[in-house]
Amino acid sequence: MIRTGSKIENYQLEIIDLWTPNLAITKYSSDTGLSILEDWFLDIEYNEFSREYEYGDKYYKHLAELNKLKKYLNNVLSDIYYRVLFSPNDLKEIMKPGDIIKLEEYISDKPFNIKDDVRIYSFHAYYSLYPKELLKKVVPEIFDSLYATTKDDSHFKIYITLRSAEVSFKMLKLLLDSASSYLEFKYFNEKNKYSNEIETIKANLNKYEEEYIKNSFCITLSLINI
Amino acid sequence: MHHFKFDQYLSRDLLKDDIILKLFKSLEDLKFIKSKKKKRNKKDLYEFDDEEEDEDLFDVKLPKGDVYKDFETFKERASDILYPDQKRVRYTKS
Repeated sequence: MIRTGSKIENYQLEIIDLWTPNLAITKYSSDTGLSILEDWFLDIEYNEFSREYEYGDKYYKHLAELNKLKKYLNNVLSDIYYRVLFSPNDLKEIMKPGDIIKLEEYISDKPFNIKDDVRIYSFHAYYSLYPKELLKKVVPEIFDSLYATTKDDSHFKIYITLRSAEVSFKMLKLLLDSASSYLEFKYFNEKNKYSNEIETIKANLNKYEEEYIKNSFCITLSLINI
Repeated sequence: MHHFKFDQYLSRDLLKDDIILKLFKSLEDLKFIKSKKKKRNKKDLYEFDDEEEDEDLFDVKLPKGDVYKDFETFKERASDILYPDQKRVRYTKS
């Protein structure tokens, strides 16, 4: 695809936080020179391969659902520029919050390397941290039900923030399964490489569930600044 | 119970790491159940259905099935974790 006039040299990710050794929260820098629309069509996701043409529309639909969640949580990473990065390597050994990842090209559906042997699997934060089950099941069936009678209750906010973190964590593993299946399908020659690494990421994710919950909880309640 | 504007008191001092994890562990795990696919009668093979993607959603169930009961249980446990001294006073009075 021809990208006339894009400032590709400025296309970079800033590390916002490291939730576990294998999971980083990042954000595209604001000087990419790209419009949001341009991002939508260049930055196709794993589970979008059959509906690439509807990508922008899909973001708006998900965003509308996210607005219902924002009613309850202090801080939702709904900006399209937030990305969740996974790696089978220990990211805490090679990066820290505030670091910049300079990208040689736009992030596509294919995992990319930031060093010779450190591969990165990238997802949009808005749907990987806030899965459909959270927005379409938990919010209406649990949060909305409780809100009607307990909105002023002192523990309500803690309860819903923890429940959100729980659903987010459990659904991440399914997201990674979905990515693994997709990469097997699209990059057949390299399928074992990717699926083995994703299994490593999932195993490590399980080990650091408490770290994930704690960091998700603190950001969502705005207990730490990002 | 605690009748104050709680958001103002949700600080890192109160919610230290070990407290957050105790609160999390005090929750009963949600259950995720694969939902059955709905049968749809499409008039047109190429008709786009907005809700079609929802068929892949898991049903999310509370362990005891009652959202109010689950929250009440959490409140009791959370009060013990957040305010252990107040718990002692409360039980003494009763």
